[in-house]
Amino acid sequence: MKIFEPHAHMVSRVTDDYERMRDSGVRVVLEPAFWLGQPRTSVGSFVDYFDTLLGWERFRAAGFGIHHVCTLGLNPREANDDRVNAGVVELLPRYLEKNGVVGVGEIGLDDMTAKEERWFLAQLVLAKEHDLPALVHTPHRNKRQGFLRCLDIIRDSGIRMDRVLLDHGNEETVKITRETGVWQGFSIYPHTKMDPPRMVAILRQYGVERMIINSACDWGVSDPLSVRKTADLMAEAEFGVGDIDRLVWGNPVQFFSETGRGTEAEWSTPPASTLGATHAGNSFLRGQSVETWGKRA
Amino acid sequence: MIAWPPLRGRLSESELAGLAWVQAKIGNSQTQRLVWLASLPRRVGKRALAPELVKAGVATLNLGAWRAADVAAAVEFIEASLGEAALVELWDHGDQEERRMVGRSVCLGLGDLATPLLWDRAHRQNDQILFEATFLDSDHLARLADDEVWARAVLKAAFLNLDLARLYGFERRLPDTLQECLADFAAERRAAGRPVWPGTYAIAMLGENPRLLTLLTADRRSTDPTTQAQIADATRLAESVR
Repeated sequence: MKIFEPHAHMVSRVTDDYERMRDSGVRVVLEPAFWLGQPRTSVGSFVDYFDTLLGWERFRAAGFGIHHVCTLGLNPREANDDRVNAGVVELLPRYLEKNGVVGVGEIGLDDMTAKEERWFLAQLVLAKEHDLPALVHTPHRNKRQGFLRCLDIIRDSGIRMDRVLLDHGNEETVKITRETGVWQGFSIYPHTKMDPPRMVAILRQYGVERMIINSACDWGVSDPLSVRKTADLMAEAEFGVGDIDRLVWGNPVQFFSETGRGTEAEWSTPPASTLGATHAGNSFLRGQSVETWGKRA
Repeated sequence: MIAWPPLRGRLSESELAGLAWVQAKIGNSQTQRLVWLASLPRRVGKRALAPELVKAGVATLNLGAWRAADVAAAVEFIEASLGEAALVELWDHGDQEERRMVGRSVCLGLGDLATPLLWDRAHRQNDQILFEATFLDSDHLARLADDEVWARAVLKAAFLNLDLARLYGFERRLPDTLQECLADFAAERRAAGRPVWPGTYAIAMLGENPRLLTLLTADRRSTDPTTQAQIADATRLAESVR
């Protein structure tokens, strides 16, 4: 099974996760820029964070045979912070053409404030200008209203609806979004948001068209293998191989490659391994040789 | 410096169209260059050029190590008359592709003052792709680097097991200190049961370091076919540059 994991915050994960993900079938991991768990106090922190996603994390993933791509953006929480919001959005064009950037995100709404709406719209416009899809974070509270408001702003921006992935959906939001033309994302968490049995029930009812599932694994309690676990549960529920493959590989590949920032052929071939190499003088083998590392228990 | 018409001539019509698209986006603005240069590999492509030794002013370089996007970037840099600050800024804010394009252009003698800064950046980055782009396949480094920069680059090439022949002009730059360092490195490798860098043999043949000559003499008696093949290659290389 080949998996395109379309939402994983790998800077917060350890090398064991990369190994387990690769062994479970993950060939591509997409890391959306997000909130680090506490507010950043200057634009410079975002510069270094974006550079990390484009440099070190890409290098680290390649060591495990996984392609690393990212979406960059100002997340909705920090869109409320005047120390950084305008500066980060001003900075973004310098990054959106870079190699490995396949979209703008995660952007969207969280508390649904006026500032969130302003910077969400501004970043949708940037996505249009750079011919990129948008990965949209939706509120965890008041989700139904949040989805409706996100859709209004998306329509106002003029971006094509099929260039938008509305993430963190559930049984209620799928009723709102399925006729709009946007792609629908579901984050499979161990205890919250959406779990594998509920996801399988949604897929049984609505099918896999324009559906994308992800682990959204980060620094919190989360499971980087939840896409594979959901796929396995689909197999147990007698979904066809074609539907499973479309959900975990075909759909995210189609959505994120449509504007030419990557191809299925490129992502199907493992990246040149960086094991044993160094990046900015740093290796993740911590002094072990590739041979020693490969023979570990 | 290579005049731009012949360099442009290395690009196909579709590659030139990609370059024109990016140049239109950039205009004459460094701010826009920081945005759009990264798109050159996608717009122009990464076709590998055919091997061809080219004289660029006093420098010699092999276009066979270049890709279409590298040529396109060099054309853009030349036509925009980029200087030191602009090139270093592109490196510092660039992704790997952008740095690779800047690194390849270093040997053209653009913004000469930027060369030591970019050598330093490429060396410390320790990324093999960027090291190769910035240091190998031209004699720019051998002609202009001071002994310290030169020695560090040769040792890094040895550490990365790169082909000595790609360090053009190496035969003119074999100071005693460098040969001693290579003898130390070879001894370390031997002690660890790991292979010696094959470039060591050619340097032993061209230099006069007793430890390297002892190593060469001993390895000539080796029955290992890989070692014999490496020594044969080194002999051909040494004779070609002697």
